[in-house]
Amino acid sequence: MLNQKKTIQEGDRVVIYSGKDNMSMLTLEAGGQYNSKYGSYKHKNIIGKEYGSKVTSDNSNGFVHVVGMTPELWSITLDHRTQILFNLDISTIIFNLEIKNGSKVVESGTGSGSLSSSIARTVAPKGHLFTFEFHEERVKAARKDFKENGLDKYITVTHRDACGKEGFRRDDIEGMVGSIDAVFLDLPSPWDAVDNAVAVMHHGSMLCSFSPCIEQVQKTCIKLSESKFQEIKTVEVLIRTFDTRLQEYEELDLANPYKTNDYSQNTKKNFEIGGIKGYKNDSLLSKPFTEARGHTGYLSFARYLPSA
Amino acid sequence: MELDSSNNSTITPTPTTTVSTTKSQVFNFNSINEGENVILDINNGEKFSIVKVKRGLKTRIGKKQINISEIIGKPWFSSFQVVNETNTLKIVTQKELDDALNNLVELNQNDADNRNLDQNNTAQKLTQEEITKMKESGTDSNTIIKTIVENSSSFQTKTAYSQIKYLKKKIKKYSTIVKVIKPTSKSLTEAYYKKDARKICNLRFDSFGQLLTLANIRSGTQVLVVETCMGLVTGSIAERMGGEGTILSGFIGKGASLSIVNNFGFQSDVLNTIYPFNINLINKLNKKEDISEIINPTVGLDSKNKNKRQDNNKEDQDDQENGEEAITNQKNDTSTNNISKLLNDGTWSLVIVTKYSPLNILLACWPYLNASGNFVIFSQFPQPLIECHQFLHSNQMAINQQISEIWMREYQVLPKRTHPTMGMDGASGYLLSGIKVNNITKPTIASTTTTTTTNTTTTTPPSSDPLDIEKQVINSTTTTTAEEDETSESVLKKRKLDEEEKN
Repeated sequence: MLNQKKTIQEGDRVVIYSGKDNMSMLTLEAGGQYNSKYGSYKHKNIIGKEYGSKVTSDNSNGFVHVVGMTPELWSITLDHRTQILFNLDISTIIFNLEIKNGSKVVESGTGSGSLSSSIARTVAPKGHLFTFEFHEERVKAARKDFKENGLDKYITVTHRDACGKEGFRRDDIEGMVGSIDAVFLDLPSPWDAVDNAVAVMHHGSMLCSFSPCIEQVQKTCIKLSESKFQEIKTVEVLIRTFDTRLQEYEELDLANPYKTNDYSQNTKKNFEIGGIKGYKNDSLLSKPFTEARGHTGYLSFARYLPSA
Repeated sequence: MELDSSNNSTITPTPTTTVSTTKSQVFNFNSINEGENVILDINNGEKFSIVKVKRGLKTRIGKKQINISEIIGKPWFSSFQVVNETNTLKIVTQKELDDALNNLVELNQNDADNRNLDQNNTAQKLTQEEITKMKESGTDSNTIIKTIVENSSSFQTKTAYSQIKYLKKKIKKYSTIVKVIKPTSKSLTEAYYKKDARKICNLRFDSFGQLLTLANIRSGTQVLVVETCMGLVTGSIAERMGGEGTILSGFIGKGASLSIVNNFGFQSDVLNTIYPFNINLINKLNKKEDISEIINPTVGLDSKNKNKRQDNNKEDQDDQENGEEAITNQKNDTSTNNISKLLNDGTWSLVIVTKYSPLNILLACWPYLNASGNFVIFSQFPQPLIECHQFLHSNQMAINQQISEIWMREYQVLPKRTHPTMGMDGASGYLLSGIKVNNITKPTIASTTTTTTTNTTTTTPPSSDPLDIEKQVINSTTTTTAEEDETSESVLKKRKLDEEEKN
């Protein structure tokens, strides 16, 4: 996922794009074949092409685009084992936790690994992500996914309950405890994990808690303010995407006392409706998509400052 | 518990986060040193000022010049109170501040409401002159506030909550608290957004975070940036990449205006990943004109700042870091020839944040973005992005395009008093993102003979001039044979039918 190449090679994990709602991931094998409603494609016809190429189906009736894998595309194409965090929440978390190459981060729970992949991309190669998940099947699946995406070097998955006694401590890994720059909590009762988080953090580390309910936020923020955290801030971010198109827009030539209508330039298409003349123009129009998300969760950020 | 054995060896402690066993060591690693850049957050976000820490340095805080030597050696994010008599700073802990607030006056424990609250401004018995007199005579802020409260007839009728609110307001007015913040992408964005958002093209933190994600910024990659945000975007990308990778930062105008890059306080390894260049270089490359007359600044930071830096050095010979920074930044080869070579190698991310109309910038930079690479454009306005979207869409140059806006609300979280904050920032700006695709139609079995020529040209090695390839892209889209057009159209039609069926 991280070493983008120009040419598609055997063994690469690629994204087959045939529309915003039609993406799938594929690991290329010499004898493999990919079938979809947009045709079937022999892997060997994809291997050797440039990334970003348009590939025509074996019977020439369809085409797809083949692009490289990114954490964003992966979170769209992966099998959701749990509710996943949305792209915008992920961006806000990474930006506000000040994560960069070299950061050491703790995450709980791992879930489907969507946020984990984004964090790993950002901390690699000098940093590391320690992710904790109490559901054993998810732990196994996440390890497999991270390996297949080439991220396993940067992620340690631990099967453990974040609110348990051991918390986030990995005393067996030298230099882990006390070096964590950022902690992310996506738990039903995050306030129960705050003490465990503090145990691995240092002065100036950031914490973020994601909760869908305001009651959780309330309890978490109280716990944080009692635990030497400052700069406690809760935000909610929602995305609005726009539907853009070039379409015919009809205009009526109605006389009015304020402005003279001049349609002399427009000879393209006109029509008549109820005795009124009208003109059709190609207009670039845009509106928000009707389907939108009303809520994802609240993001509470705080900085751990024991000596300030 | 289980352990991935492969992970043990990969954890190399970085200097900034080196683990320490004792409390005193933690203190050291997280303390403010001379020569470092700091953001002074005055009165909780009221004002920001960015300075390079030096013993004896005086800087303007409020209406006075304050000596900030006191912050040296103190932990990052500490708070300091301005001592009015000496014009210096005094460290205060958050607890001390909270206690000061709580001990100032006895708060109302009973239920209260505002049934007796008058709005005729007669509650305060002190006159403005009397208050000013107290201030001028050097009375400490706590005494002033106490006197004001004692002379307020409405204070006792307020609820404890609104009493605290009132006190906080007064404290802000009569005492100055300075918090010393580490300059990072986040803190600088916040500081500049509050200070003068226009200078950073009104790039709000949430849009910026989303931009960095959508651009797939990661270490070791090549990024092409065109910005007029004083270097905030370039610096933030450099911060994320942490010294590994290449950032080609195109500037518009006579010289690179990357003064915010200096404020990050980067080490030389990070500075060396930044290659500033005049956008005219791309213009000339695209026109296949002589590029030798474009002289690139040897140091990529703006000249005004460079001079300031040299002055600093003269004053303080010991300030090694300062000198190092100026020299090491010159170490990477920012010559026009090298930059055009790097551009021709291709980049994986294209980021545009300028005050100019983006379409021509986007198209000029397009040849230097590799296919399958990500592009993101930020604009305050949606219309220019719609234009870009339409151009790329109709010429089939990009996939997965999205125009988006963010609705962000901050919350006041208090027991039984949680709600969105009353004032909010309603303009996130807009982002257009997408993935570049190479649209040269590959020969199909049926039409191999007719498209052989296209095929041979497309298989030229990637190191060759990207412009030639790009031209072929445009040519191939504009001169596609009717046959091919039909195929793609019929496919699209088929897809539409499929979707309709689904619905």
